[in-house]
Amino acid sequence: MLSNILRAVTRIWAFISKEGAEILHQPRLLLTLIIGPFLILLLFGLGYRDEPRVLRTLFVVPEGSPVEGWIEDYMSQFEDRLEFVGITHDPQEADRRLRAQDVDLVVVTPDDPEAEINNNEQAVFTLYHYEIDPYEEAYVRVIGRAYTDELNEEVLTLVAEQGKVEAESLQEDTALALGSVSSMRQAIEQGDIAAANSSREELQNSLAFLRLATGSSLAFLGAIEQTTGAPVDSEAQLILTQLTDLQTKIDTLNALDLNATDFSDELALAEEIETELTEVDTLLTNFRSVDSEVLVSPFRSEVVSVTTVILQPIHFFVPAVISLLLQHTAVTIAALSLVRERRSGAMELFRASPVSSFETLTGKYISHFFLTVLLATILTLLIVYLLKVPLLGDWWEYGLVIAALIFTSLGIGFNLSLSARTDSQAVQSSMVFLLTSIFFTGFFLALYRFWWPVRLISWLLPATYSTTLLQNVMLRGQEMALPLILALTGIGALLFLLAWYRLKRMMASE
Amino acid sequence: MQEPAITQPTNPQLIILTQNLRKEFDGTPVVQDVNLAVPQGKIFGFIGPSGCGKTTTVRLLVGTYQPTSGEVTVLGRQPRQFRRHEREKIGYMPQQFVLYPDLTVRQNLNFAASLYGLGWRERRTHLREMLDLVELTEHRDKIAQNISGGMQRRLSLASTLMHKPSLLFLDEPTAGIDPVLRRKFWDYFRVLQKRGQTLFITTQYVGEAAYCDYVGVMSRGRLLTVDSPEGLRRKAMGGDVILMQLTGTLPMEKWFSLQELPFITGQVYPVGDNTWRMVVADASVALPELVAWTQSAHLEVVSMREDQPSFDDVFLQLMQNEEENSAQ
Repeated sequence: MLSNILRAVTRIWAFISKEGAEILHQPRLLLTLIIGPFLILLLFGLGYRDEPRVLRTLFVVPEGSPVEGWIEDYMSQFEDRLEFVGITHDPQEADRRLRAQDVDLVVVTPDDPEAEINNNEQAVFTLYHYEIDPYEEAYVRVIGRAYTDELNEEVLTLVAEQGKVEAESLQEDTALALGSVSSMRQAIEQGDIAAANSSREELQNSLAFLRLATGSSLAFLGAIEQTTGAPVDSEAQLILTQLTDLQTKIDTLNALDLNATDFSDELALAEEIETELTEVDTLLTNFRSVDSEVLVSPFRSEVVSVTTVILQPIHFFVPAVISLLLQHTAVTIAALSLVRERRSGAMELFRASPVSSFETLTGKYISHFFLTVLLATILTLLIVYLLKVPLLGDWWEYGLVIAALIFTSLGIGFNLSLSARTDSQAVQSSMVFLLTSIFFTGFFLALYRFWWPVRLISWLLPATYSTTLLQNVMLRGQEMALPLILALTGIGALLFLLAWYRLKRMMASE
Repeated sequence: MQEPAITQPTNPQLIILTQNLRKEFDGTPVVQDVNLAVPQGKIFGFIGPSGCGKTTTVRLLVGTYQPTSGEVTVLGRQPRQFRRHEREKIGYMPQQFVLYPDLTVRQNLNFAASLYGLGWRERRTHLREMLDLVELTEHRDKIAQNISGGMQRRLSLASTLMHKPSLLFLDEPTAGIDPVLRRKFWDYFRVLQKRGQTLFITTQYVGEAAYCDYVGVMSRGRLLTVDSPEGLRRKAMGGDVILMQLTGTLPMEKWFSLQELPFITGQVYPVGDNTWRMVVADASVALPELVAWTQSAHLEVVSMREDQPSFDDVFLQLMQNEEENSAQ
């Protein structure tokens, strides 16, 4: 029994040592396997630039349009995203230059924006592009939206500034009204009804003037605040409400009867008006003190990541690149392995010898596994210590994910090898598998973008599991997701059993 | 557990036994009606032209092919039912060099030995012995693809011998190598035979039949005959051949009377230079009687000897006989 086990181990070892020796006798291959993937990553890291694209922008402005005067100044705010190429009055020239890809973007400005707004119409800036890449097209759309948002904000800020100037003059009028109501109240208290009536008339006049002078800017701002969902008690709104309220109260303040003896109601109303005018004054002071940008854009968002390190864009791609490289290496090595034995005739030797399909496959699995693990170890050390890609999680868990990835990828490779008749067929199969992986593992297209049956294909690929697992372990420092690692290993085990069954059939008598 | 069907040869000395062995590929027979019995400890030569079915027969015997019909027993068991310990007794050298060109001579031998479960110590001892046997000791650390074709054949042979099998199947081991090396190979085979190993060797070189204990002649998938080399020669020629050279010509009436002699079994015909060739039943019996007849016939003899026709001639004769039989 022990002798049989020892002999089986010896036979398995035969394949391990043979495969190892074959690799060691090909130092160039070894070097390519180790240095190649690292150089790919290094180039990717050095070459990747996380900078927005600057669009060469040409403006088409109708002759004599007031827009022409402020476009160039305004463009300076967008110089990181839009490069001002110039202004033309000829739309056909702009069209020609766009089609010749001399410019990336053509902005056609409205003829007379002021008139369109006054006609209760939106002034439209039309952005023309010649992009065919859907991502670049989306980028142009985003830029266009940002551009108009910025423009709208700019206009509103100007209106707000104007409103503040108007508020200053309003405050002066309010002070006059306050003086009138105060005089009226004092005259009533002293029984000088004639003087009180005189002050009442002054008050009514000044308030009417106040209402009149409320200003288009303040009214415009109030309306904007309402449409943008600003709080009901915002400054402009409160001022407008308060003034309307005051007007109602002053309208009820009739001329005082000189023969009357009781003026308590009028006194109370005068006090109320005085109080409200003081409040209006306070509101105006507050309104003037608020930053125009806050008035225009009361809300803003801040995005904060809860990760503990600052991740560079390349870091996100590293787990996927490691997964794809290791998967491809393991699949290719294994795919070539059995087909070469068949082609060389060594399989005939195995069939005549006491070696079993299990021993053959196990020996090859172990040798290829350790070779790819060695490659993964060197690659990881270079990535972490030379490229400074963070590995926040547990190293053992990282190793476990890599081991499961290699084990499963070898299973795919051996099954491809059992189907291939020639070396080139084996290589082609592994290349097709790599292409499938590039498209469907979420390497550059997130999995949620796929129709669900296609997503099932994604989850048949080892790199899909390992990419997700490695991203969490490396970049988030999380523990690996048990269901994912079990699923990956399970697929690997099934592939091993399938390859064993197929090899057994192949090694049986013909 | 049910014991697999074993066809035990009646003669325990017979290590290979086949009965009406037939193999077809896609309905086309490649080997048919092959009946073989190979005794233990002998060299069995399997001779035939390229494509006659030799390799297929070997593959049937080592169990990589299953027969379409007929029986085959090797080491007392049907090859497809071989167990590990039976496979460990067999050594198989395929026709092509199937070892690993990127490995050294030593690594290839180690790999071959490990396939048969040989431990490190055994491997080390056998390795030295086999390298000495095939004279590759000096080249043991060379990469296999960098050694000559002859050395590669020797390496193949050594790897087949590493686990010291009792039964060897060597498929054209001497194909494509020079005559000196071929001779050397047959010397190795003799050494192996002396050690008690049985060798089943296929070859295209008819002349190599002389080195075998038994020879099977294969043609177009059929086994024409199996015999000892001498028996094969006699079978092809119809008996022993005697060459007789006279000082002068052989008169016609004496030629006729020579043909009428009882020990002459075949035709008597001139082969030039007053030399006559004749087939007799047994040369040792016929020669003294022929001497007596020449004396009585007053013929002066220059030389008289038994002729050993080459196996090329023997093989051609056998093929010719086969064609004549087929035509009839």
